[in-house]
Amino acid sequence: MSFVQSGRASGLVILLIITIATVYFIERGKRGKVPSIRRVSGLDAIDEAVGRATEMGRPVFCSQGLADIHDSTYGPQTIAGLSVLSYVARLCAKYGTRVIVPVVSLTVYPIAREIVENAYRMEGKLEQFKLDDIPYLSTWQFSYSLGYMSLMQRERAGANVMIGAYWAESLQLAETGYKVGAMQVAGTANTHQIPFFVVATDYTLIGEEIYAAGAYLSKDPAMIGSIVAQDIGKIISLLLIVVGILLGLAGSNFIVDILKM
Amino acid sequence: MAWYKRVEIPIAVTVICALIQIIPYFFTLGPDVESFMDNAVNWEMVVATGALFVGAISIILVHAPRVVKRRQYWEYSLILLILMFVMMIVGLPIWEWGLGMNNDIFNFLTNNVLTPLDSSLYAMLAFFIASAAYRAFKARSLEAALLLIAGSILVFRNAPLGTFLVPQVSSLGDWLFNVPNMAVQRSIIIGAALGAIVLGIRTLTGYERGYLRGGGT
Repeated sequence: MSFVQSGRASGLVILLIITIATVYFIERGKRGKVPSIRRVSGLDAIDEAVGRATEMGRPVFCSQGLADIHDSTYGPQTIAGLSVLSYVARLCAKYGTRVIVPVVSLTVYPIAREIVENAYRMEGKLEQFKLDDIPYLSTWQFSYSLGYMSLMQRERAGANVMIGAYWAESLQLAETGYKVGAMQVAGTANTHQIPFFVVATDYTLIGEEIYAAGAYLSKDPAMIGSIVAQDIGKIISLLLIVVGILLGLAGSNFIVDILKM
Repeated sequence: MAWYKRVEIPIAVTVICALIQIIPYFFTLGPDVESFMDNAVNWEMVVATGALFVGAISIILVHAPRVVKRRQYWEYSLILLILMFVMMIVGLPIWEWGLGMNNDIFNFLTNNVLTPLDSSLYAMLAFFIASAAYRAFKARSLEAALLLIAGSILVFRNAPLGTFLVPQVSSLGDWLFNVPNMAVQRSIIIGAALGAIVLGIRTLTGYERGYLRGGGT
């Protein structure tokens, strides 16, 4: 009996390579060798969106999608969304702007609340933190969507930041945000919802960009270094695809057999 | 700071829980260890279920003061609280009292209130799509024109009248859907998967702290 599960050895090797690359680039970043990364206009626009909402005297909405944080498939998107919330809440606390965080997941609720509360505490404005602004709406998808849309309409959202795993409610939320005149930044890795965000919001983060958000916004050299490790993974993927195509055309299934190991 | 408030504690819990899921995925560990790992995953579900109380308390904390102080839209808060308690009580798994998931009131509210409302909201999506498409389908730039052309071809391909009037649109739509669209979707999925892996590594090594009290301080 093999120690490694059948069919998962290749995945393990690739995971180890990316892990080593991530740790290497983090250490490199800590030593001050910060790689230059392209600007992500959607993430840069968050400051503008919060600033605009502040000038208009309207609240900022920030949500993390429908997925539970313990969901192994979609949970990472929620973690990425919470990292963005951390940044948005800090900005809002600094400017004295209300941040409203409609929550769908009960496991996310206490985390979101603590993030916002701590942001106000760190800015020395804890008295401005309102529990009402972190409403748990519903676990049902469309009940949540309806609650979110109603809140945006009633409170006249000035900005709407949606980063996380969204499904069919994505367009309802984005369209409502558009109708109330909110500046919107949205991002998801759910490929079927990306087109809805692209057509209905001002800035859209596509796939991997949401996972880089926490590192990008933190401006921490070590964190920014880790983004380069994603490129190592992309290079490996590209090599496997190109070599696999060439060998496949030559009649060999070598790459496919390796990946099945 | 008290030791139990230190940020290292949630990071350690995250690492342990993640390893409990990752190790059995890749390695064969024997029945005893696998049984332990399965139990740990079940415990995670028990802990997550406990969060239900957090939700109920949150709803009461937000809506009860609204009703008591007669704030704007307090009537809706009252309806919400009444229905929440009715559903909670009739849904309690006390079979001897006729309560639980097979209770008539519970089934009535689920089948005749919750489900139709949910379906209606889903159906409303068509109108949201129409208004978003109206704005998006304007050929202001090359990219917008490409989106307009590709979208129009796919609308024609999916509508029976479209394929009846222009039969070629079917094969063209299939090609658009299965070749350029599939290539882009796969590239996004590969990029997103790599991003999720790196985010996971950052989280497990304690660098990603945005989700911990707004920066882990």
